[in-house]
Amino acid sequence: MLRSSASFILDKHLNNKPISITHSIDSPPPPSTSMADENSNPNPNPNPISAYYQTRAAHHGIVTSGWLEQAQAAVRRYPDHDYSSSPDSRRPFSVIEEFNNWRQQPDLAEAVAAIRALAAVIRASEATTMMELEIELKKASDTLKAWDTTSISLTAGCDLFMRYVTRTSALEFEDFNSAKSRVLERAEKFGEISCKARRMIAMLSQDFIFDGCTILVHGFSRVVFEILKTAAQNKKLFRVLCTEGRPDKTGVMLANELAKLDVPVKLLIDSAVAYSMDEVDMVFVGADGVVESGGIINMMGTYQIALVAHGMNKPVYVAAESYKFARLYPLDQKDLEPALRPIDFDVPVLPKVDVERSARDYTPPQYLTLLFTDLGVLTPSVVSDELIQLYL
Amino acid sequence: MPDVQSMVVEFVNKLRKRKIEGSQATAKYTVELLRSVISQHRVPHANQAAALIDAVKAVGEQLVAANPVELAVGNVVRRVLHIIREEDLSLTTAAMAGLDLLDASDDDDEDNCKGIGYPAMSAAVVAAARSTLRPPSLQTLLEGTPESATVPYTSSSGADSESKSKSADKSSITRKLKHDVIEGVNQLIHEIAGCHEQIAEQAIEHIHQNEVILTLGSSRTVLEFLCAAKEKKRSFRVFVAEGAPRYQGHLLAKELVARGLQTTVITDSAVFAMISRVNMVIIGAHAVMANGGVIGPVGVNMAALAAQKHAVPFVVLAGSHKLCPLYPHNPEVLLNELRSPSELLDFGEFSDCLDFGAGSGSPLLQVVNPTFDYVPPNLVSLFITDTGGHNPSYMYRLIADYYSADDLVM
Amino acid sequence: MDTRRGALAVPKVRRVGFFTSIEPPPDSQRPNRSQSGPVEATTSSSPLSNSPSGNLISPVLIPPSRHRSDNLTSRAAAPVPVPGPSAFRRHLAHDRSLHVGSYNPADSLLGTSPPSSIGEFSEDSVSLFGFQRSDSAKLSSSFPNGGFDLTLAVRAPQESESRIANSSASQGIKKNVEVSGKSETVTTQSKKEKESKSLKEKTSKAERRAIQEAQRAAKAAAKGEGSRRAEDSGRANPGKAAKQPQLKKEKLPVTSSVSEKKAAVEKERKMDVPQTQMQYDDKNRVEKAKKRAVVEQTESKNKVELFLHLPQYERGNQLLNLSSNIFTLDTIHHAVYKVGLLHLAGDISGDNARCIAMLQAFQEAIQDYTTPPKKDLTMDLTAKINGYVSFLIECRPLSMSMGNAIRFLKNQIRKLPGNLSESEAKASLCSEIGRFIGEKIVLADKVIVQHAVTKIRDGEVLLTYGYSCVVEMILLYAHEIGKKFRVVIVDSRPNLEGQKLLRRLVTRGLDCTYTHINGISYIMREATRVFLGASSIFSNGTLYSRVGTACVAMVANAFSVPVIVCCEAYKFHERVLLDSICSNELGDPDAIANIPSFRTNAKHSKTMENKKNLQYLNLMYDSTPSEYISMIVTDYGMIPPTSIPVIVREYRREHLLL
Repeated sequence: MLRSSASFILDKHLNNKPISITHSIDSPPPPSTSMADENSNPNPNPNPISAYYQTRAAHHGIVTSGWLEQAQAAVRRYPDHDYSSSPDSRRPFSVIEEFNNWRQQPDLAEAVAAIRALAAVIRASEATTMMELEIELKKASDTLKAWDTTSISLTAGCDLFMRYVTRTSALEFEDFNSAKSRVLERAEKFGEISCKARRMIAMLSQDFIFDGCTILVHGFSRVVFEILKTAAQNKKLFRVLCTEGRPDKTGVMLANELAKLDVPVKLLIDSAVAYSMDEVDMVFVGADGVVESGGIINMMGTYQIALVAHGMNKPVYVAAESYKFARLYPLDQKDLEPALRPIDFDVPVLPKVDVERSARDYTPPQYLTLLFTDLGVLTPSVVSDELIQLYL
Repeated sequence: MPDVQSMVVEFVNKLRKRKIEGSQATAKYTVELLRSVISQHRVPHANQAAALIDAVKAVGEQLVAANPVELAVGNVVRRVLHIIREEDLSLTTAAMAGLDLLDASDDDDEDNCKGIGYPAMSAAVVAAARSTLRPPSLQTLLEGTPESATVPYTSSSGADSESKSKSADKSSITRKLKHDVIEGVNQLIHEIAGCHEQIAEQAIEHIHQNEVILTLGSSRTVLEFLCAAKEKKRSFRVFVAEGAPRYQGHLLAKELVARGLQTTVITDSAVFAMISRVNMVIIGAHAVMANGGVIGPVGVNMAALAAQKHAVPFVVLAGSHKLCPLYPHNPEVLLNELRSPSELLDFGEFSDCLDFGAGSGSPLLQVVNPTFDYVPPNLVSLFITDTGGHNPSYMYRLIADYYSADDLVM
Repeated sequence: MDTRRGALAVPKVRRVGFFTSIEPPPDSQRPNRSQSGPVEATTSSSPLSNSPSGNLISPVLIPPSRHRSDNLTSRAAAPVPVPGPSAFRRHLAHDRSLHVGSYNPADSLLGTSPPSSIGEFSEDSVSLFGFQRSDSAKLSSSFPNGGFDLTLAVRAPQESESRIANSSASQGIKKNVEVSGKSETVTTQSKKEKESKSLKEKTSKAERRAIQEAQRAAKAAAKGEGSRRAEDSGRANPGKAAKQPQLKKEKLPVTSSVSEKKAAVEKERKMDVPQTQMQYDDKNRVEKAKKRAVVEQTESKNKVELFLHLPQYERGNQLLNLSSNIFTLDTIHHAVYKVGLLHLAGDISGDNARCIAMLQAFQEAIQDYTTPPKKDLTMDLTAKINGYVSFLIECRPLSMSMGNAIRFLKNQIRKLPGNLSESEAKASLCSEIGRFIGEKIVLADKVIVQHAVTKIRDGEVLLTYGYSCVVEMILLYAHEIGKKFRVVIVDSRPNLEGQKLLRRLVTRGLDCTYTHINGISYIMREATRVFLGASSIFSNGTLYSRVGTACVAMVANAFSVPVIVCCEAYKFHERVLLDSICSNELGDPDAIANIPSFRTNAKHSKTMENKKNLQYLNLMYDSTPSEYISMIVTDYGMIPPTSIPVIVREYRREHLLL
């Protein structure tokens, strides 16, 4: 069932151009990524579906990575090496390719993939000084960021790593080789950190899940799933309400996973959130990115749920690894690069009908209660503190 | 050692029987007890900081278990642990610097033991150790020695102990550490004792002429705060909610009157009615949680909600020993204490209906008499601590300054 | 007979004069300003008619001011300062008026003066009727030069006797009284008409409309009254209800029935609504009230500043005095007396209980009532009832619902067909009272229970606060019909009414949880519904109920628990209320000071010397904003708080057609 529904990605590819054109006519600011990229980027992402969304889809099993690969190959107008028209294409190495390879590993976060990709850049680098290496890395990271401007954790991961490299080079390691090896080592470790962060978040949140509570979750977040899994393993008695997570039905996935763990679970359509909110004790959501204000950017519908929960005085907990902290400050929903995704309506939609295809929204911090991160349990106000400390 | 043990037992009993009232008194007892624990603890030559920490932790666990809702105990224990760690760290750095510059023999010693150059290592170790004193941050995520990130504490303590155990003048350093720690603990005692004055000093900035202030419960901090403003010739009026069924408000009112303040006692139920004529609500906290939430005397949430409704500033006074590094979950229930029903209903009157667990088949009558109330951070306008005024959203930072990340979970 | 008549007449005219003259003292901030215009016009009509009397009142009232402009003599009278709290301000106004030499100052005073006059009027009309006369008599008698008044006072001996000895009221008042006395001689109507006309020209639109309404109302009322009262009304009716008809009757043509009805409604609203509590920070009024009082009250020495406008008396000894007086006071019917004592002692609490007790006492009193010779039943009975009511107020301030019931009763008396014999009238009144109790209270409660019970589902946790008999009925009925639920009873000091409810529910086998109001945040998480009783609901949706209700509703709101208020429609009131300060009742402060704890007893003596600074405030009521109320269950069904004015309107209509 899920597989079949995934075919829309291909279908939409074919239909995408007209739709995106209407988009750009109606609202010039958020043009479809494909258009924007082609115009502005030396290394355009030919795929009109945001890479961010693809990753999500891949990780959530709607489309397996292999399937996605095929789909991409089929859709791609440009052969693979077109990617490597980036500045460092002098070598037969493309950071994007590297990134894509890493990205398709399930269970590997996008930020980690980015850092791994950057590490590969270092490895392949022929630079002899820290300065050169830095410049090279900077280019690679810019390329990577430009390749998918919609992915926040990619951006955050690149920034974080770059920051680290800068600090390392500025710090005590005059010796280029030791510095390089140190940086590489960190990059390798980073994947571990990512997994460990999830564990840690799960541990931290256990205190907050009490027996008999009802938890509302939205979409499929690996961290949230880890939390619930841990709670179930700890023999906590709780009930989960899963939103459906239209259009990619990630909530259904989560519900199924939870049912496998014998957690009582109830599936809601996305619009039933307010209806069910009074029986909910807390809301758990993941995050694609945690922005400077302490707000989060997450799957479409999170804002809505947070608003409802806030209105009914229910706590909203965000589970997010700290590498998702990004130096962004969206003021409103339209203030961020829209990550577009195809939406499958059961009834045919005429091309004249404009479709809101953004895949995520921004939830301001005042609607969030606490953030569970690997840095500990934080109030939204801490995010800015951490970011300031890091980038000061 | 035995007398320390007996002191601990005595204190634990007191805590258990709730013989000690008020977080300040508890904090003071606790820190004094810990001081004697430290001073009487025979420190082994090796790894003394860790030994001290273990000793304090052991006692602290007992104390916390004796009365888990008296968060001040845990706070003070953590503060003492933090002091030990900091003193240890500063000693280590000082020693290393000293070793580095002056004592060649020691340097050799170190060099022999450690494979790599000491100067480079020292910086790394210190950085790592410092990082453990702070909660993890984005910086530490990528920075520092890899081991320190994965197993934060062991690296520093290991390095420290090693360096110390190898140091030539072991006994002097040992004594030094203990001395410094006790010095630090004394400072803490001093701080706890003086927190009222520190807070009261700020009263003048917050209370103006002809103000009407509402307060709840009986808090010495509040008393001193109001009196400090009174001494500065500000004339204002105080409404005190009586705080049934413990009537602490009456006690506070009498003390205020004794100090010449215009005081009016109101029933707890009249809080909402009166709040529209109140300029400021000032309460003393039982504990302040890391998210800026407040545990206060029962009924305080009601006052906070009413204050919010009427846009009346809700000010919380809290000595730094009340800052608790924990995030509350379900605090109304978990961080609460239900007291005897006899405070609400006369014995005998309803005894036939009360459930004594006998399952007599008579209808159940439960009597709920909670001690504390939790105020979520969004209802708090301002915290006034001995370090100044703070927003609820900034409390996490104060807490990070006072406690070591490793001690959060005891 | 003639003398008797004269004696009676004097008080009546006096009363009017007295009102106007006294107006100065009451402070200008009265809540219901809108109503003031018309009522004032009607009430003050007689003094107004005469130029001198009008002048006297001028400082406060609009009409007088106009007079002043018309009349030169007025100038002399106007400047007389009225001592008292607000005198200074008024005085200033006077001066200004003098300088300007026109009615302008009066206009400027427009805003403030009508309310005060109206407050005065309403208060007196509600409560202290019996004493008003005596007061005015006293005033006049005490005035040295007021020969006319003096004689009048002498002619009305029984009331005035006791008061003559009392110290005279302010000079200004005296003078006013004197002049008003003189004014009697002049025919009232023509002047009044002129007055109102001139008023019309000068006053604001609102004012004008108000006056028109009043006139129309009076007209309608006059018509309604029937012919019987025509003769009597001329002189002897002291009650304000009676007075109005008289004025118009001669004057105005009969209007169509529709307008009449409307007018009647209007009048109803104008006349009966504004019973506000007496403002106790007004020294003159308090003095007077004290002199009239049956119950001896010592003012509490340590008053709460914020509540100076409310009576703050020391408790304890009134009961003793009263019960010893029981056989010596014959002005008060023994049944009423009993109810008063019960109120005073707090043996009856709860609005419905108090109201029923009062009505039943009135019933009894009416049955024992015989119209004195040469008196009109309507007038005299109203006067009597007013006397009773003022007595009851002295015992304990009336609740809003009692005020409504009294209005109902007076209305009934007023609307008695003229052709009824005394016994018929009495029987009719008694049955009306019985019907009121039966329909508006007992039956209404049953309907409310039926409605409310539909909102209780199995497994719910119902939270209630204090003791409300309707809520108790709901809970017991729901239990009876087999609903499974748990009850949380929240209680608060000092009355601890919840324990009564707890006892009753527990003995009936309900599962109960008991806590104090401080624990409300703790217990609210368990609750699924909050049921509250009400003392009154105002037309802006404000719920006026026992203190603490607002807290419970607020916390419930914070926890998203629906709040259901159960309130009979007769308790609805068309006043509006914003806070709990302006209108409230203060209980015995000692009830708070005395706490069941040994800890404080030791320190009691020590604090005695500081008592000046220590006050205990025992508020009885608070007002809950309508946003906290999810639903109001009334005998009209389940309605949102926004529909209160609708119910009030409908209720009035029905009430009127009864």
